[in-house]
Amino acid sequence: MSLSKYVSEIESLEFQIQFSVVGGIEILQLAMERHPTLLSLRSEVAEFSDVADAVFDRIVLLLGRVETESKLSLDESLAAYLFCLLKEKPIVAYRASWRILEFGGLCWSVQLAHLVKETSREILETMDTSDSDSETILLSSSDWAGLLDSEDINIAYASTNFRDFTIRSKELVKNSKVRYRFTFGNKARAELKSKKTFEIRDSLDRNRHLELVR
Amino acid sequence: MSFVLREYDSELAEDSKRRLVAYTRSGWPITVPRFARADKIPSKEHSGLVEIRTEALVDLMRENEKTNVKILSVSEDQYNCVGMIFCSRTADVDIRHIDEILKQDGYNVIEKKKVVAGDLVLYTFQKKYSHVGMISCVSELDLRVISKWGKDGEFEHEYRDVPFHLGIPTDFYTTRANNVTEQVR
Repeated sequence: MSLSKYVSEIESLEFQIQFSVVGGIEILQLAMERHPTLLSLRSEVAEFSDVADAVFDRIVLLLGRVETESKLSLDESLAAYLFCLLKEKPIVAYRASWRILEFGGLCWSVQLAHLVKETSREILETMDTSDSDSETILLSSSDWAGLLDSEDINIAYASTNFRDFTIRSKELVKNSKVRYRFTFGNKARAELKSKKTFEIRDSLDRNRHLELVR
Repeated sequence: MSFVLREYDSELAEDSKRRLVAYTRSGWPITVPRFARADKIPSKEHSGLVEIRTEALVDLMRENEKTNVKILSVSEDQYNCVGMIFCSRTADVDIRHIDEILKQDGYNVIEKKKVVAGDLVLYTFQKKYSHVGMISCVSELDLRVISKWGKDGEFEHEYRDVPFHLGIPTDFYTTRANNVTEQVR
């Protein structure tokens, strides 16, 4: 299905009223978990990073429209987009959540954004910053990777499922404005591939991707 | 680095201060997140959008041959099914609190054949309570319920006639004592 078809369905009144009736965030997620359109969109978000970016852009676009149109009319659509990102691209979901929370005034999308934020808080709490300086951060997380850009105070998280090793340290080498290199202990390397994307190669020589939040 | 953490923590602390509390009959507090309080919907939405959505819901029900649904009100407050029954239409209380609320308020499970007006019906979706309604009318052929559907309208409907994501009716609750139950009927 093309992205425009997803957009026209997810932003339709028929779609929205399926979810506006539910009585709690848990039920909303259970309902969205099984919705065929969202399942299909999730598989595309998981497979193609440009689709994830397009969904993020759509959230931003819709937030821009909320001011002039009506808040509730777009709430379920925003929540559906955020849900797809949360399940498949947590980093992008994290970025989108901040946009939604900054905007406020919505219902399900705000609750879902809080959920993303809460999840991220757990990761932040695992970080040990006591020995850190401007170039080194100690991390301890088996399921999540977290990166901090000390200069711009940007945060990036990835649900990378690095179950085969634990990230112990990170060395940040900044040669220019757009060149970074991260080393995770002696078991994985990350090199800048673009301004936003890092390619991670782990101990089993599998490629992983992290994105830097701007 | 610690700046980021401090900033984040202070924001969370601020957020927790903003939480509101509603109380059950026994005094048990239900914490309602700030973002779930009963904010007024802007009047332009009340007059237009909420009505459109509520009517679209009824149309959708009719398409699914659930014709016995009547709109009771199109509310301008953001309360939900739990808020309607337990918080006097003043709050949006997540349905996940329902078990504790029923326990704290002294509700007991009863059989369907024993329910009377004022008792509650609980709906289940994917093995979790998903909706609650209040019995409004009991007859031999029909059991009618008043319930609020999410942030849309309040409806009176046949007890099985609810949108798919509200689940199916599975349990009935009452606060009446067993002997009183028989007398009332």
